[in-house]
Amino acid sequence: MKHRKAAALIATSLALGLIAAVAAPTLERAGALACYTTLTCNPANIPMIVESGVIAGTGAEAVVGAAATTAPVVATGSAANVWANLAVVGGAFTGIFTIVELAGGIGTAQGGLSSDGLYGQRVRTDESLGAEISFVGGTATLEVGGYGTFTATIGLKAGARQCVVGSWSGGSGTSAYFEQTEGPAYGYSESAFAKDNVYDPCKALYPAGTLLSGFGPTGNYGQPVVGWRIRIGSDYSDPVAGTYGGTVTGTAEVTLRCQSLDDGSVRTVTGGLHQSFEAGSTMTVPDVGCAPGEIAVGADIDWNPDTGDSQQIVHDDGSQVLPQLKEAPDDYPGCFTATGPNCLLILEKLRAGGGYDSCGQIGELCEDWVTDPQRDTNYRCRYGVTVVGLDYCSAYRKPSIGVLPNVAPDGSLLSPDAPVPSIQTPGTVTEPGTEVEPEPDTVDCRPASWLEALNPYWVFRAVQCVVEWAVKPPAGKLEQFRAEVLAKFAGSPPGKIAAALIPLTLIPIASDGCSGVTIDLTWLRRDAFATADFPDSFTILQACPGDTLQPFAIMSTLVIIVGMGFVAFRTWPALIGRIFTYSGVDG
Amino acid sequence: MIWAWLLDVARGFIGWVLDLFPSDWELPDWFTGLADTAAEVIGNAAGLGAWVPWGIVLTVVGATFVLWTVGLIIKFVRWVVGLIPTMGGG
Repeated sequence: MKHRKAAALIATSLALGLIAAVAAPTLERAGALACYTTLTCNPANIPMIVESGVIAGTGAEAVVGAAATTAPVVATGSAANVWANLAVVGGAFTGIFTIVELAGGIGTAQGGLSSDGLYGQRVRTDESLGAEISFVGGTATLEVGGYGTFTATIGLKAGARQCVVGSWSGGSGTSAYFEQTEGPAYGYSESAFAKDNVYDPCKALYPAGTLLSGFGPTGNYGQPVVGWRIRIGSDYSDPVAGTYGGTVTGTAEVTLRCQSLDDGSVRTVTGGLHQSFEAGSTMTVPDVGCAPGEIAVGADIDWNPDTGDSQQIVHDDGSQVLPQLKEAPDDYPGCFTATGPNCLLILEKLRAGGGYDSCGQIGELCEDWVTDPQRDTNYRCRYGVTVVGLDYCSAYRKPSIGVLPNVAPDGSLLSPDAPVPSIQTPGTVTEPGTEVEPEPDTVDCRPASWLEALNPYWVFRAVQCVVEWAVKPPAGKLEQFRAEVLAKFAGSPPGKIAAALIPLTLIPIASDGCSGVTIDLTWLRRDAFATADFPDSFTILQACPGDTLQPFAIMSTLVIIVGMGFVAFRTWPALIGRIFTYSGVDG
Repeated sequence: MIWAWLLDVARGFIGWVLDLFPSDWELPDWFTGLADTAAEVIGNAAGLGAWVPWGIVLTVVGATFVLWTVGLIIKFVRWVVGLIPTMGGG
């Protein structure tokens, strides 16, 4: 028995040694705790500029907090496309996005599943990704399979990144935003985001698993500052004002410069919306857009608080407009005029008596068009009235299941400016992202003659054929099963509960903060205290370097470490001994 | 065919189970806000990181709980096995 207790004590000592090893760097970091209240210390935590068409580089990170996603990288088959990604963060969305409404905008268009097919849109639907929309100027309303409705107005800049905060009906804990991802290195206004305590979702690069629990303009007490602030888990303290919260009231004004595609003239469209923000709420951008036949070549967004200085949130002089967007009217005549046809990407099949019939919005009426040996002559592809190469319709190479505009035939994601992927030679088509089926057995299941049937091989061969026929699932059956079950689950009460619980598992655990605890006092502002002069909140137990309480915090840390060691030394030997003896520690 | 049939049966069964729930039910607001509440609590706790070494506290408390649970499981298994007459039970 004694050697068991000795072993238990040794194990306990080793564990305490490990704790000491952890504790030492913890204490060393005490002098750098301020890193977590600014954006300049720990490189791993610094929001970074998104350089490519994804938020964070890989699929798992691209749609933060979501389950079963692939990277929302976009590519375009047309030089005129301007893309926007919809990313839902903080929640799981495996259901299919349904485009409810898209209004306004200029750009090429590509319909997606359940799209209403208005011009100025390009939609991709995928059961694991969501939707991508391409249009410049307009309002998009999307129903996100079973989770809620997202509405946002975008189109203030063309050909540049743009972060637009919309409204989301899916409840708190789930946020959504558009990010326009195509274009040259994008510019943004620093003025509204210069404060290092303000996180800008348009700049941010978030590590996988980051929970974006909500973002929107936030008023800081005593400072009429409005900027998009993202609360990343727990790290949202304000080192300048020392508070977080409050309400600001003012007017969001948009000035949009629209250039006519007919004569190049530029006119200005303005809009304003007076509103108030609670901390963490979402600002509504006035719904201002260019008319059909125009292109947005610049925009300003200003926040004019009722008290305090104005803030310029976005200023774009038009330098970010894609050249190909300007050239689009020549490249695709008829697509960009006020009275022109909808510029959809259309796949058509040659009619027997002459002329062409549409293959449907996502090619669903021409299931075999990719593998048709006479594909080049039986089908044609066009943008609006402009006939383009059949490769442009490679987006429809998975007819009726999904539109795949930004995925190469081998399943790899394409960069935003990549040319359209070529469709493969008929007969050798590989569906993107799917496993390659093994080559079919060229040996028939039946012998060629009765004489050959005498060979016992054909007995086994026949059994093999029957088993293969019976057991092998049809192609696509598993995918269909998965999609249908997930969609059904997402719309059911258990699915809704699961969607609400998943964000709980994604909350990052940060333990090195020194900003203390902020006590909200806004609830006191009522009745006789409605106009009382006291702050909306106050912070206690701040112990960052330079704070009065920092030495006491270090002492507290030491005391707790010693206490934890004592607890471990007292309890672990007994518990370990109980495991070895099965019946508790004797003596 | 067997797999296809099994998948159809599974899909039908899952659909039947999910259809047992009310179709117009919506989550209450307090439930959808759990993540926000939890994030706020964790945020406040993290703000006290200079005072409390949460990593060490959680390690000690967690290890204690794990050791206690393992002991309890072993004890339970031993009790179950002891019920079998030829396995040491009576």
